[in-house]
Amino acid sequence: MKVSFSATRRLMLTCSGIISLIIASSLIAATSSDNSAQPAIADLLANDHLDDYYSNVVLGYRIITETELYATRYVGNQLRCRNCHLDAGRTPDAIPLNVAGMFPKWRAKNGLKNGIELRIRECFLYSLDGLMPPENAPEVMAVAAYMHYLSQGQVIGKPPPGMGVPTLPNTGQDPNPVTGKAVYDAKCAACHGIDGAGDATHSYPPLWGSGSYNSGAGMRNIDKAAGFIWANMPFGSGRTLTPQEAKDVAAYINDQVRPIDPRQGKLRLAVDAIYLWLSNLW
Amino acid sequence: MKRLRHNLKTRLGDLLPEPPPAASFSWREELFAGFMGALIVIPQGITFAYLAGLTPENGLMAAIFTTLIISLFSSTPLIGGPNTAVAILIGYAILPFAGRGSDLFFSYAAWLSILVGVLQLAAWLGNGARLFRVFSPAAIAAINMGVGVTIIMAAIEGLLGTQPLATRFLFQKITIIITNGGDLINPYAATVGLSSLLLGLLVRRYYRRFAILAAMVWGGCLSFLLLKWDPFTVQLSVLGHIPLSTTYLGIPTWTSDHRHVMEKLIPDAVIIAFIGLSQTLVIAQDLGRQGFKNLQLSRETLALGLANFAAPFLGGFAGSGSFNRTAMNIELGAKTKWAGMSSALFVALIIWAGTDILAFVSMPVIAALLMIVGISMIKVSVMRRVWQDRAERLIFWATISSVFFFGLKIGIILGAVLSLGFLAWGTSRLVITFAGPDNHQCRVSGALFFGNINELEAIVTRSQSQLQLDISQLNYIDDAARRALESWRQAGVITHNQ
Repeated sequence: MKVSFSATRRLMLTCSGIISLIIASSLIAATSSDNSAQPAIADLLANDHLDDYYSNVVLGYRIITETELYATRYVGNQLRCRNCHLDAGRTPDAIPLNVAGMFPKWRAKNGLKNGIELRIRECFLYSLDGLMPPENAPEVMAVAAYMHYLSQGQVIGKPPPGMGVPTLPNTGQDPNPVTGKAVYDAKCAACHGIDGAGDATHSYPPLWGSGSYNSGAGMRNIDKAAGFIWANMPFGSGRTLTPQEAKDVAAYINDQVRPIDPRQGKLRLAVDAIYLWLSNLW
Repeated sequence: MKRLRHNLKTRLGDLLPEPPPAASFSWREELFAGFMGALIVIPQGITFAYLAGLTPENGLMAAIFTTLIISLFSSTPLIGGPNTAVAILIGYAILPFAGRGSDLFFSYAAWLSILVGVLQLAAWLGNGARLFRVFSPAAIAAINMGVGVTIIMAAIEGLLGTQPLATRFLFQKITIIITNGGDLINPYAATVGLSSLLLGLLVRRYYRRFAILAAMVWGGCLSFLLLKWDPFTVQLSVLGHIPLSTTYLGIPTWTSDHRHVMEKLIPDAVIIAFIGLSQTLVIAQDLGRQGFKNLQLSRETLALGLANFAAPFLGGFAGSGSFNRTAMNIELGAKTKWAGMSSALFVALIIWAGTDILAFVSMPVIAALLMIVGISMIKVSVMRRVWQDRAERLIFWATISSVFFFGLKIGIILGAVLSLGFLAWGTSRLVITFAGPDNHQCRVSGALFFGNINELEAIVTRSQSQLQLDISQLNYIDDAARRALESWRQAGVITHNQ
């Protein structure tokens, strides 16, 4: 008799425990989805006493905004992350960085399931035309922490609004670099320079030449570059160009000389040619 | 008072850097060893700085200035500088008080290093190096060999290009790699690493001094070609462009928070100071055993304390003597401290002039170099010599297995305790020899104390006639033994000289 009583009581206790756990976890979920709960970057920058996570967030923010100072080891050109990820990755339609919930994801570019670290490392290799950091490099972990911080409140797997760059409508015409040059000289050259070399202060990034992204970068894709230009350029008065103008400018910019895709170096071409010759010989 | 003054005078004598002996060293060998040491300390300094939660710049500053100051004041070709154990301890100590990468973290690390330096300088003033003289040669050999194996094991991931494997047990790593090697190993990294290692070992057989250089040149060229072929496919970890700036020079910031935090960090500082000092003095004594006659442990203590005290003002952090770099230094034929000092200058020169070449130095090559150094630290001849004495054999195997299974810190402590124990055991033994007609003259030597007085008592009660005890050879006699002797003398059982 006594045994059955204590068993019932235990069952009730367990049930009430589970119910209260469910309530508590739903409460926690409700509060954590509130994006304003976490401190702003300005507060974090002003605060010396940060835990390890927020210190990494701040370091990640500094890498994004002053790449050449905080990620010197792996950068190969004159770009900063924030040159494309405008406002340190907080502007929609300018490749915002609040996309931690979208990883890991499969990408056709390398045919692999990409973790967020691999994605960051690829940016160093192509867009920053540098060396690929190791997976556990502190720089990579800091940028990942910053992206995680920006992604608070997003739904995992659901693209956040303004992810990447807008896809421009089909204008029925091919992108024309000749008209693109006219548009560039009129609207872009004032800041980026006629020679596309930008300025030394890192405010206006070089668009081609040795200081810019290499041929393996995502910006080399004319559609992506056109979407970015249409939504954000000229800086401060985005969406003033027509889609066709944006495509023409993108074609002009990507027609210029820039560092080669590191996957397609002369050595790679030579090795591939020898391999082809040998396999034909067989 | 007089003794104190004498003590202080000898201590102050350490402050004058001792000129290295003029006899039998060649500048070419010293500079060559210094150059190779610089090449190997650069990646290590960066890695250890990350372990301590600091930046690559801090690691390089430590590689320059900690090494320079230690070599300047040292009496042997001991190489100091950034060190794994010390770096990890710094990182762990400060993490509860500040996040990695924050300015606060850097200033706490700097003040912790200063505190460690002050404690080591205090140890130098109090002649604390005496304590470390008890290490038996077997314990030192065991620690050295254990470190050699640990270096080899730690370099496995880098050599094969796998992710860092968090294993608890030393040889677990090998099992993981054998069972899951196909998924874990990066074939390109493994090709670079293993070919450099094999070449290095081959060259080591015939031209011992050039082994590391040969492995480095071969591995460097191979990884450069692979990276130029397709950096995405080969996925080699590289060193990257190394910055060198003077912004870190100066006095670390001090706020009102610092006092409270530093008070809490005192126990950590004591541990770090002890670990750093014991590692350095173990290395120094090992050098002494290898025939560096002008070894003075108090000088090494001073050198380490000064280096750790000064490093934070120069952008570095606390370090200690380095097992692997000292081993390499000796292997390359260095005989004086010029090797270490030139190594510090070469680091600065290499970063200043060769940063673009250095950027392509890959981790498998560095791992291969460390493995060659680790292999050179395992000496069969030493093992054979230690095997001949029972006590030494026991100390050796107990110490080396604790280095394997519980890590370097426990190994050092156990080695010290065992050495001390056997020392006490050996000196406290009572040796009784009989002489004269019908053995009534008896000489007692060693130590006579409460623990072994009953041995003597048995002899005294067994003896038929009055015993003549010769106690002039005793090196220690305690109160209990003195009282027993007195009572026997009064009972007329014995007579003894004084």
